[in-house]
Amino acid sequence: MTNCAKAQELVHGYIDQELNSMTAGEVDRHLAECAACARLYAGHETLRRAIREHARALPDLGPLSARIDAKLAGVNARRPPRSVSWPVWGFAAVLLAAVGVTWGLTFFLTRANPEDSLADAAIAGHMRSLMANELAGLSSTDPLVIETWLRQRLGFSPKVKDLRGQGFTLIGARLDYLYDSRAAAVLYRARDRVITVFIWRATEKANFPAHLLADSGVHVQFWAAADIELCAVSDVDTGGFTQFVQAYRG
Amino acid sequence: MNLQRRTSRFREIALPHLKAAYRLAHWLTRSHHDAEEVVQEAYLNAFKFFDGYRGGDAQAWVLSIVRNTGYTWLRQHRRLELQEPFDEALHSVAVAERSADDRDQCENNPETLLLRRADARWVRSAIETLPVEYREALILRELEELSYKEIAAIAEIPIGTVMSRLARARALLLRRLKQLNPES
Repeated sequence: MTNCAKAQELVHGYIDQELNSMTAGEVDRHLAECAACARLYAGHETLRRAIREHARALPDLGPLSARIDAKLAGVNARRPPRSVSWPVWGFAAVLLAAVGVTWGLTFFLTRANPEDSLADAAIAGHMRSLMANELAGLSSTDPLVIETWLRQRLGFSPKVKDLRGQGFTLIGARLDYLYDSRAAAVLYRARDRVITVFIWRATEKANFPAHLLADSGVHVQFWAAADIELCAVSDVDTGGFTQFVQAYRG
Repeated sequence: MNLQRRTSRFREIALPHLKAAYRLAHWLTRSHHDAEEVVQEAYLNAFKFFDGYRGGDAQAWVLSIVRNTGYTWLRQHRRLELQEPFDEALHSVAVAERSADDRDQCENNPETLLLRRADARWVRSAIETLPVEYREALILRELEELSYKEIAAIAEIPIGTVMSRLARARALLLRRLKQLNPES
């Protein structure tokens, strides 16, 4: 014999046909006997009809669809001309499965200032360092282990520095994108803050901003070494950040 | 897989869910323009990580990415702080249903209220005032007709939480409709 409190909890599962037949039967019987709950049920049913009637309307998605098509073509066009066969990583699958991973890439075409976009992309990527519940990559404090892991997956050899002497401990690394370049994201800990260093192979000569301080207090610094570009991102204090970058650039 | 084949396979798998993607993005961001931006970004992200799609429910895969992209967007544009603080334990469903101003639901008869006034703007505004987690569950259930299990997977919550969020979302929506009733 179901009481009103229980019925009112279960009525939603009942409405959505998610109850097993025994429980659904109980709710059914209660609604037949209880006018108040029956009225509640009727009210919710009406509400559902109203939502479906009024909230489903869509604008014409033709233009949006066309824009997406165009951007897909654009992504393909920006790939390096030499066709590279990417290994099938568990990476993407792991990322998609990890709770709380967010996607923050902003695209060059939507902004007036490409330098800002690149910094935004770097900050968004750094947010991923903070938000992933598990490191969707490699946990290690050994620079050589990380270098090997990255080289096998990226097709180039990012240099990973051991900066324990300067007070920065390696946490690990993951694969990421900066803009549409596949990049290494190497993570360091500085006191209680995280520093992400993105490392990617330069595909074209880009003018990127040297050092930025975003409104949120996040430092972003770009630099280049031969045909490799790097970017450090962190909300560590200015002194610590400068020290880190100097140490990394060596 | 070469690029052309990859692109056409992606289109086959992901583009059929554009409507659902747009609806979710729209009700998360509450703006047509922002929804379009989120959907574009989500589809591009999905394309880049297409290697991670291992078959299975394509709609859930796309909506999962749209949801993540949407929440990132809300965070970046600082819209999340403007939401009401979300407290899962705020009210038990039974209390919500029996609270003082809900008791007269039974007298005031919501179905007459709603049937009488088929006003899209009223209903849509009321939905927009719901906290984002409630809105999300409601939209996925009522507009996309996803099962509790599917909603649980996309929103990354247990199935029991899906039912209780829907319960609170519906109770809150009824209350908001009454508050926003243009005839009152």
